[in-house]
Amino acid sequence: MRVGVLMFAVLSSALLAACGPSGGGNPQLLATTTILADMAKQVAGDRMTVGSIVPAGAHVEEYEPRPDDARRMSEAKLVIANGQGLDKWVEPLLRNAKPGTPVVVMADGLPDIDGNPHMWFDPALARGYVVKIRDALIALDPAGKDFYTVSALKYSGELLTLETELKAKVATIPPDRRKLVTSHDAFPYFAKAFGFEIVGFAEPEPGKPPSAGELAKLVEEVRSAHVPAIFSEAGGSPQLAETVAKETGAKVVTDLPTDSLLDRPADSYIGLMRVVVDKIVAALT
Amino acid sequence: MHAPARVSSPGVTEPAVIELHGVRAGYDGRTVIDNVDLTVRRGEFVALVGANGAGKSTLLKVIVGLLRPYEGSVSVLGAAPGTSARRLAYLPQAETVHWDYPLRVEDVVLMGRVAHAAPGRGPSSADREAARTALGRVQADDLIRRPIQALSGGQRQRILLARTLASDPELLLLDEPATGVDPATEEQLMSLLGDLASHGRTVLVSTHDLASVMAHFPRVLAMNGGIVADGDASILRDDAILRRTYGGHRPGGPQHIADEHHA
Repeated sequence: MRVGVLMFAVLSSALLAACGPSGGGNPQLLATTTILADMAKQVAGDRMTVGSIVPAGAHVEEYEPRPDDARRMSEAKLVIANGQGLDKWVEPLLRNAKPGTPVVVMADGLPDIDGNPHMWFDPALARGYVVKIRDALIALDPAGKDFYTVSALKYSGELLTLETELKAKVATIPPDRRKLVTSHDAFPYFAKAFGFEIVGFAEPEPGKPPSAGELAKLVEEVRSAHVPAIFSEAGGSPQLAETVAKETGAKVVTDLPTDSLLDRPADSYIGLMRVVVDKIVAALT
Repeated sequence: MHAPARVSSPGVTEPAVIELHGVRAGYDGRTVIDNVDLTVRRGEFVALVGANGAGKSTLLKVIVGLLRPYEGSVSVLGAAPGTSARRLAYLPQAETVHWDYPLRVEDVVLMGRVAHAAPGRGPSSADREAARTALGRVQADDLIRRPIQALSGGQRQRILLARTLASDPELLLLDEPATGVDPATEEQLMSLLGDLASHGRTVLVSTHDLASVMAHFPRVLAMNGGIVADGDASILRDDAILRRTYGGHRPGGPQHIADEHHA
């Protein structure tokens, strides 16, 4: 992602002087997604205000920036993007940022799977996100180094515990039922981390319905792999999943969170991961 | 299921830290442990032994709250399992945690140390010293600056163990902590865990190393689909108990080698 190079932008002394404990108004840390904003909040605590461009519950990959986003961008002290094409719409928005505003791109330098951006679904890579956020915050606000270091350690420890908890839950699914069919290609890192096979997804391209041929191919794959359930993502229509389910006898599970936080209990990254695993475990056991 | 053979009783003056009554648990409807009644008191140092698939990990997961039993009641530190997470530390089997992002060893250990720190504090020099001490206890102090991703499986397990030690919990639940650890380090580790128990920490350890159990543990739970014997280490010299535990195969035989990773 092109914005990655801006990560190394040199801060002016004036900008550094402007960065301190949180104030009201526009967020000092502007993340592209609610998941990244939550992670930033866990590390920044009360020292910085944090906001997200894409609101909770909204689709990230199809997001179209609004004029208000440009205004918020102009006030941001640090921009946190995911990269790998997930939030590529942020690149034109960055023109509204103050010169020298650092942009930290989470996916840069992390081991990717075919360029897929959904790395947060692997808790190990999520811990990598936390390290990048910590380092960016320390560069922005060196006086808070101890604060950010400890909060990042605490949060990373929680993510380690989360990984253990989720893997114990997944272990209750019979191995031959650990198969996923989802709305779009959002789960390769999840599958790798938790030992699932990705059988297919309803939308080869996010937001675009499949062709008749693609749908028929998916139905055949679901049948031959004996996939127990089709997962329809939150905010999307379950119609495609229902069509495949009707043809194959699989059950439909709706409202699987993916790119955006939702209402409680999926209103934090940790909560979202628990909801995802709980829904999958409930459907496949 | 036979009633467990109880050879000796722990002291009853200390409060119960773990209480299980009539517990049946397993995975996808399959029962792995059944009829489990267990009381562990503060300061006890308890070994769980048995073949792979005997239910050692399952029992630990039930106590931690990672696995809800099909039947029975569980109380941990006076509350429902999973609700006292800050007071206990659980070390899963090696390679449960993945390290696709290379965190530094010191940071992983500090995670345990600062887990309950007040916001904005540290990591102080005392925290870093505690992390170094914990790494020293598992013979890994020379790894402190390394990225954990670059270490072997056994080394990573030692780092996670150091993190557990650094968190100084009331209750330690360790699932095969000596996997990938050389015998000398294992010996020191078990001595250390026994020392923690003698200072009021409660420690449960699953292990395959019966010699180590004989040398260090005052209480042993022999498992095979439940608890088949519960007593001091002398139960491991009882052929009848060993047969019920290992199904006729001595530890190290084919059944011991068979891999049922999550049971």
